[in-house]
Amino acid sequence: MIRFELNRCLRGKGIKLAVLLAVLLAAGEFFGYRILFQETKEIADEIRRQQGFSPSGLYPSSLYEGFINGDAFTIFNLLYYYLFPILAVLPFGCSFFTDENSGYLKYIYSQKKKENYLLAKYTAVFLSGAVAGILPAIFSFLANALYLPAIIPNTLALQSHTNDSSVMADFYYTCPWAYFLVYLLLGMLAGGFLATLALSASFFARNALLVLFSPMIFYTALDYALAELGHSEFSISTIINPVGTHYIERITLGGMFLEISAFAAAAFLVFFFIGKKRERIL
Amino acid sequence: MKIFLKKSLSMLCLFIILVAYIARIVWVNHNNELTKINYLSDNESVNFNGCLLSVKEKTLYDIAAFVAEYPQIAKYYRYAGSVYEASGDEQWLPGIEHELVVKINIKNISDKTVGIPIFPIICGNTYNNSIQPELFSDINSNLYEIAPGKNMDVLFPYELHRLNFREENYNNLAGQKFSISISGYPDIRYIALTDVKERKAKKQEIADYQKLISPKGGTNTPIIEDTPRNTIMELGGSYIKNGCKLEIEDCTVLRNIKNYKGYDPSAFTFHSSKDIILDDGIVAPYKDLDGTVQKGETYLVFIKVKCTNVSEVTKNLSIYPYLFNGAGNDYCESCYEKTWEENRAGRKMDAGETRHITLGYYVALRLNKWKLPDAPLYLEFTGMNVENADMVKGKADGGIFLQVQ
Repeated sequence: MIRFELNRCLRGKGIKLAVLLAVLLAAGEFFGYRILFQETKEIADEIRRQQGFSPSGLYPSSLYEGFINGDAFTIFNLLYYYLFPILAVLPFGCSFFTDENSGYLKYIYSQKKKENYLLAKYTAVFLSGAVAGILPAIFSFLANALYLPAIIPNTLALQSHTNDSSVMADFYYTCPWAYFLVYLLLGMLAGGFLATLALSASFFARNALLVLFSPMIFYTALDYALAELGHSEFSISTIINPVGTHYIERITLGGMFLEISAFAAAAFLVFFFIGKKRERIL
Repeated sequence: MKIFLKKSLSMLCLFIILVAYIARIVWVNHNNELTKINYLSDNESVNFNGCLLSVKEKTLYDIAAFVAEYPQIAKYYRYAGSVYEASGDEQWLPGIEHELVVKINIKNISDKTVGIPIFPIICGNTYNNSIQPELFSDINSNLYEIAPGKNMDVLFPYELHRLNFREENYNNLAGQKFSISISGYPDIRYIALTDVKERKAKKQEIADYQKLISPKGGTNTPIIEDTPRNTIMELGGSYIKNGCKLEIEDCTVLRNIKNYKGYDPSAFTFHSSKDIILDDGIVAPYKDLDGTVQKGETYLVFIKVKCTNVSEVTKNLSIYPYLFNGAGNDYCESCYEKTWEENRAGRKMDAGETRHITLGYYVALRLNKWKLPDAPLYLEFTGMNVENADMVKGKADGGIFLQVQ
């Protein structure tokens, strides 16, 4: 059943749209970083040379500071994490709503156990959201690797957002690939959760667009509400963004995983139990 | 057969792309091994740009103890904020609780006078900081250079903000691995600071510091208001910032430097004079960064200004105005600061003191489309982006403009 749902997801238009959006974001960041930061740096180097200083003392730009997850200089990092819920929902998030409204669900329920279908649907949607959410990061990493060396960032280079009070700052300056791998896992967890949030929204929404945007509404509303309460460190958008500002108000790595896992578990329970009890099948 | 060929061809293409991608990545990363990081001991002398550096003392002060030990810098700590706030800057940082002061003996073993470098500091891999120039200047009694054969003890005061450290690290600063950076990429060298001595504040010092930062203790308030933003001043006006008043005395626009009395090529701070003045005294044509010579007239604009500290306390004069044309949407870089270069401690002004400064600007008409030498010119003091300013229409776009001709 899970394989069947995953196949449906891979054949759908949603995944193609998510890939397209991810490619656009990665390409935008790639050119944005090259133009805005690299060229500015080259001009600065030239000015230093004209002033009689050697630019050799300047630390080179690193891949870890140049791809979309570590880029603190262009707008694309912000844009990526703003569109993150849409990316996660696009591949398969609306499928339950479509299944229910097209009558497909009635057919499935006559063939399979309700619980099996709900479990398979949740798993497929979670996995699709997890992968789609991190696609821009992967594309951006692959593109920037063509130009930027994977040199370990140096705090004196003043090209990084991370300082001593940031989460996992030691990792960032000693083992950056592990640092970003952890953030990738966090991104996958959040992507999966946001995609499955659309499943729960399918029970209440009467329009597919509302299902599509419901995770974004939740994500943005939570961000604003927590900012108002002075606790931005608990916002999902802050947690999953390595360029977040959580160094101001601290949160631990365990706390970050725990929070998103709790959200994901809550989304599962809501979807599973309402789905099981619900009788409305067109 | 056709399908097999198609598939094989696709696989071959994919394989070639993959190999090319990997080759490119290997090439991009081939210099990564160049980076060398060496930690040097602070017990031995280190050679640096013709000088021998010997670390003599490393003391971590409570801020109250620091102010008590070096009363000449107390003026920067009249506010609970920081040097930024005290110097009139709008940037805000939370209070500094600790200061690391490193005393280094610098011996000039070269045959040239050497300027004293400001070394950045790092803590572990995750923290870096530099030194406030004003603080460095005052704590070292305006020491900037060391003559050949001489040696001097120089104090390097590093402000340590709680904001930039993890809670547990900030509460145990003496136990952190601080190092001073003396050279950059690719041969990165640090002097590791070991056995940092702690200097806690005494009760009386804490009481004195509390008094200093209390609202009544702060006497750094300017006696006259700063010139507000969004202001355009006509000829004869004066600009006021942080208790210092600036007035225009003279403005000269010329193409031949021989026509300018008192010209001093050593006063160029941005470019060397050879880049700007040709041998016959004519202002050099504008060159792009790649050295391409551009057509169009070039001028030098010299503006004599009078600066007066109208407050009751010593001030650090920090004014770097841009030159704008009458339409307000174009500016050029400053390149000439005569008085400041002649007297390198010149930015510090005692109460009531007056200073005459010559500012110089290199203007390339092809780029700026100005109508020199008679065009109205303005100095702009905020350094903000004021691209929508228009002096003809009286629109300042948030800037502060003072007409100079």
